[in-house]
Amino acid sequence: MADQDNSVIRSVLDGNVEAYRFLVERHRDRLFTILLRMVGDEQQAEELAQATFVKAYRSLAAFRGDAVFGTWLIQIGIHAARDHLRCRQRDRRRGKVSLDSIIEAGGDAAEPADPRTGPQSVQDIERREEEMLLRRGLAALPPDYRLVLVLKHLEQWTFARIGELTGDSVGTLKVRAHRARRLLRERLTELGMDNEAPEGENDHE
Amino acid sequence: MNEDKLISRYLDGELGPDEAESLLERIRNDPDLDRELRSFERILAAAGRGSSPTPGFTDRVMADVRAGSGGVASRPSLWIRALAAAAMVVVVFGTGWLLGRSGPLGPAAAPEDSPLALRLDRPGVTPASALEDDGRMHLVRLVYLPRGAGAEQVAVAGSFNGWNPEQAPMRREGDVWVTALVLPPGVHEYMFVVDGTRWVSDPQASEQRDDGFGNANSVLDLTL
Repeated sequence: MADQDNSVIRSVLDGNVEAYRFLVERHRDRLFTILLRMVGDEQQAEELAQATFVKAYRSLAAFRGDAVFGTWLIQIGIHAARDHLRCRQRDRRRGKVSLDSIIEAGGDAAEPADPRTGPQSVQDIERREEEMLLRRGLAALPPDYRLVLVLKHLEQWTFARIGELTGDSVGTLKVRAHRARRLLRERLTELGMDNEAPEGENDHE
Repeated sequence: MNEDKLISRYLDGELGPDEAESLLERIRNDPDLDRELRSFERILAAAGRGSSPTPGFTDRVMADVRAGSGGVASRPSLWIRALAAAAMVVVVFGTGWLLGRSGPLGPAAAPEDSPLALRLDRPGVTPASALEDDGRMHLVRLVYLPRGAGAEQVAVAGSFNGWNPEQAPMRREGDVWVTALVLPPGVHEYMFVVDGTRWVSDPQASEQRDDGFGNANSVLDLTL
């Protein structure tokens, strides 16, 4: 995948602007998911993803060929998300945004799915409810906790690599990941997310 | 090692074989621990479930990109230099294509009267190579192999870019010129444009069509 990305990047740099569409199509869902986990709101995540792709395009000449485009893109997106969250935190301190409104942003996931998909199955509805609770749970975590969860468990980055981005030590990040998971689980338990595994799935016997 | 730390190391992907065996043994004997671990896994699995932006996202990004596309390092100066060198006669050989799919292109510019002028060279063949086939779009890699004196500038012009070679300049890679194009499914016609004036068809193409000017456009069939 990285080789193909680099081939497309060379074409873009040679003036074939339209080729950039290929990179957007390939990486948009992954980037959007990460940003959604970071900011908890679909509209904001989409705006950040759009801005990230545009910024990456404008910086493409500085992209090193030995790097991986997807990772580089996510780094740009993470920086944008952190800036966004800092602004939001500042606004909250100034009373412009309430904590409740941030947490409620996660409620968007309960809206009906794309009408093209037709009636939803029970499983779809359960998933959407789970998604809504998850967003509310994540919204209750400090941004740095969310970040380490996202990079460690969605992107499978090593702690050392996360540390290169955040400036934290591996030890600090391990503790943060541990606390983040605990806090998230506690929060989701409070919100009523079922902790029980479905019957019949226990294969440890 | 206490259970809390074992679970944490498990979730971090850092358990050694002995620790994994120890955790498994404790899980067998402790339903609460089993439930806790499953709970974490379920939460993390839910967090990792992918989402997509709303329809039209890619088009909005591309509109923003085009609106300020001066920021990327395009190389128009090379094209101008190539025009200056257009009088050179080059024996041409070459090409090939192929690739994958991903998502719909925006509307291509409407074909217009192309500045067909001098067409001198007879092309040859190089093999095609497949990159990917994962969806709706085709990523096509075109290769042009000149023989003899080197070209200063090569581009590809076709029905997908309004027959405007400036839309798809090729890049020199050793002895060959290459470019990657992202194209929608359909039947496309194209030619290579060498040094701004020599229009060269692609002998590797599955079909050639009379262009009405006494030469043949190459056909790239992406309807498969």
